Amino acid sequence: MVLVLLVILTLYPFVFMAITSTKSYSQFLHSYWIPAWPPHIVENYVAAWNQTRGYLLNTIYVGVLTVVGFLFTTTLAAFVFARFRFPGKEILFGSLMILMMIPQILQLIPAFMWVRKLQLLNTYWVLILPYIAGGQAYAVFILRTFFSSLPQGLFDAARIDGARDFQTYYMVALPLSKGILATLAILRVQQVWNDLIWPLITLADDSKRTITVGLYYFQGETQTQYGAMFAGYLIASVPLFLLFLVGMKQFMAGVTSGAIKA
Amino acid sequence: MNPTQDLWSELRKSWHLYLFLLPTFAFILIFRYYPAGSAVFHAFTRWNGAGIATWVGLENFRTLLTDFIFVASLKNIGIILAAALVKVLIFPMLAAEFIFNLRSERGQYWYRFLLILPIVVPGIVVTLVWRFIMGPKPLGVLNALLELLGLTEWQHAWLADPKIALIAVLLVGFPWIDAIAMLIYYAGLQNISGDVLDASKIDGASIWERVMRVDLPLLFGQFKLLIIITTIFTLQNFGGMLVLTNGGPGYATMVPGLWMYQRAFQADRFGYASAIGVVLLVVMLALTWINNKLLKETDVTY
Repeated sequence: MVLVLLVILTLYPFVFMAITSTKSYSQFLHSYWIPAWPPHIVENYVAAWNQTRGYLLNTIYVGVLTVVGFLFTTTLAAFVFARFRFPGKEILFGSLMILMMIPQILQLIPAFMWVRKLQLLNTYWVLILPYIAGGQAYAVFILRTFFSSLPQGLFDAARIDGARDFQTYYMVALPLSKGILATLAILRVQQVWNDLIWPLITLADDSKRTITVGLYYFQGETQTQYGAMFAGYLIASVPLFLLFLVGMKQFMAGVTSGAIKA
Repeated sequence: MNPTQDLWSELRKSWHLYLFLLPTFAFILIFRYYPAGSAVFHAFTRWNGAGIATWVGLENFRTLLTDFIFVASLKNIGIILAAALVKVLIFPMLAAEFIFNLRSERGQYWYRFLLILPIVVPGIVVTLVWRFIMGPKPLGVLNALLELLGLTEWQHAWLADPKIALIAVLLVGFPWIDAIAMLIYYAGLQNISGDVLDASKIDGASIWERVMRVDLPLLFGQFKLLIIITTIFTLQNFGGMLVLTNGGPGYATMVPGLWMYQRAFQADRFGYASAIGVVLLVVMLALTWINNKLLKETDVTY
């Protein structure tokens, strides 16, 4: 059956990674393809955990602040664009949407010069602030479409009850959009988690590094500790795995219902 | 009331709305518009990053034409992009079709779950694992596998041999089932109305005929979307190449983004690097425009 073969081929590299993460160096050399006895799980994983712990905490810290700032700014803007009319609306919306056409790679170098001038190098903010700014256009576009589709009656009812504009935002619009917010948050966290180049050039200080940069250097320090190396790779995958177990349903529904189609 | 007064009262009435927009626009002005504009400006300067940038007109762009590493990087990215498009148009689509045609709902769910699972593995880990797979003898997995199969003459220093490094890079990720692409195809298949599927069944169409005549035309929107996403992503993403080969050996796997990065941060030629960024911007805009032109208005619905 073709599907079984596809699943095996797709997952095999990670299975190999998991099996090798339990071996000592000599076990790896002598039983390359199969699990070896006794397993060196504790030894390898403790070594890997000590190396990756700091990076993981940094990434979680940056990820959480990014997502909070990202969702706050994009939902506010999308809410205004979706439910109100005001002078300059079209121009402002257009000037935001045009960013979708400008690739991030264009600004890599000037952005680096700019954060250096702002003295943000080697701080968490050098990641968080640009991460909040990136992807605004896309998220506002998706959220505006969603907020526009909410029935006007809900907002009218809230207003009769005396709610002001900001109150209808957080009492009506936000609670109804949990699914789409979860999808956008997962996508954003995944991008933060996976970014290599920006943290590579802006964080010289090892204690501030995110997991992706940490692993990039990690392989240099441990020449023959393949077990610990693969254990570190596996540990780095756990947080996103947990996030997906929680948000998988939302995410699959979000992707399939058009959050990604844009 | 005259129009100016009208505008004034409108502005006064909606001032708080502008306040709601302020955070978004502050962020994009400072971290998107300003750097992007700065990149375009500095593409026309000589700039070592520390001192003042000197205006040199089109000099950087003229130099690019004679920069043989840049020209080689364009050729490489052309090959990589063509391969990426072929991969994303075929393999995730096949997986989605196979899953969609399963009878049991449970089976559909579990195969989807298993094929999406790699999405939780950080990109850097995927790249590092593949670098290990393609690694030298005796520990590289691919070479060890060839040894096991007795195909020793097929063994290579995959990423270190200038003649095959680019091919090795293209093999990374095999069997190339991109999780997001597969979900997009699968959603597209689910959106095909049951009536159409029933009609093709009544007409006695085999699964193969249905796929060719019904599914593929109706997935046109998904193909178009993935072509655009893949093009933009492939052209600007060079982190994977940095880790896999760093453009080497020599410049056998150099891509424009990586060359831009190296010129800037290893040679302090920031103006020149900005010019590479501008070329990439123009190429991307052109390709997006061509995609939209070629693939427009041919949407199919039954």
